[in-house]
Amino acid sequence: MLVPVATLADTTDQALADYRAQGAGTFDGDAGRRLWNTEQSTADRTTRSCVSCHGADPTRPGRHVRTDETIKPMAPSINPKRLTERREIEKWFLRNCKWTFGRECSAQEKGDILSYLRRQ
Amino acid sequence: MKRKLWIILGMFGLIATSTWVFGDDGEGHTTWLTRLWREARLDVAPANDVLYRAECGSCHFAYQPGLLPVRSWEEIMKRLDDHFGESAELDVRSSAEITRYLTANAADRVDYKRSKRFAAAAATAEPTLRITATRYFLHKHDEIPQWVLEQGERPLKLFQCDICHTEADKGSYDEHQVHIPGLGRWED
Repeated sequence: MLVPVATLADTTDQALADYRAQGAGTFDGDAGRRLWNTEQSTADRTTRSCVSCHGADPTRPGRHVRTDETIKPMAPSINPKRLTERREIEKWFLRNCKWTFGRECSAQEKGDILSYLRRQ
Repeated sequence: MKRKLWIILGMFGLIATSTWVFGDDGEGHTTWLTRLWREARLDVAPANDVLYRAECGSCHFAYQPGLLPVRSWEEIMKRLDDHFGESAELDVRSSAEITRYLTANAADRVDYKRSKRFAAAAATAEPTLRITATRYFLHKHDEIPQWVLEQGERPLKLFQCDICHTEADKGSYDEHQVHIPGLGRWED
């Protein structure tokens, strides 16, 4: 029996369409890259960004800044499971935007970051 | 003299059969007796729940439910939006399912050796949310000097069970399996 498998294109295209429906404009991978690298100051005077845990190179594994746990590469070219599940995408955006930026990300920001990551 | 020889031969035989029965064949296959033997020595039930491993184990060691009592797990799951300073929010369904798994297998509900010890220690103190702050954990780790934790390239953190307890993921915290990176075996 053939089981339909969600692909990177299916899932991210659908996510981007939804973000657009929520009012976002055109998505820009370069804006996503800048956001990915944006450092946010925290109350304890450390800075954090997506890079803190995922590392500067999305094709390489990251390391959780608190627990030291290895995080598999974000680049779909290296890790084909990335960006194939909508539920996962939204879960991690919710958790990680709150931790990194202290707030949820907007539809525009999520779309920009997805556009950046999908081409890695 | 002859008797001595037989005893020595017999001992060799015992050693040979025990490695056959309890050993690996080198390719990771184990006999059913090996599995039975390991099972019997487990300190806590392994955390084999697929959802729990995926949701919680992707950020940190998948702590076995038998390491904390029901009350602690309930508290932890109630405040996932501030999970030791981070957001670990889950959708309602996953959260409920994981809470069920954790509480059903909590230290005070199961019968494994160390679970019972964790439960006993928790029963006489305010339950904590941190395994590393439970009385039983502190008691078992109090002989480790600070320099041991700081001797390597990266400081060791006590919440990373599997760094030193080589079989921790399988639910075994046997002291003989402790291997501290940079130092080797550790026994007190």
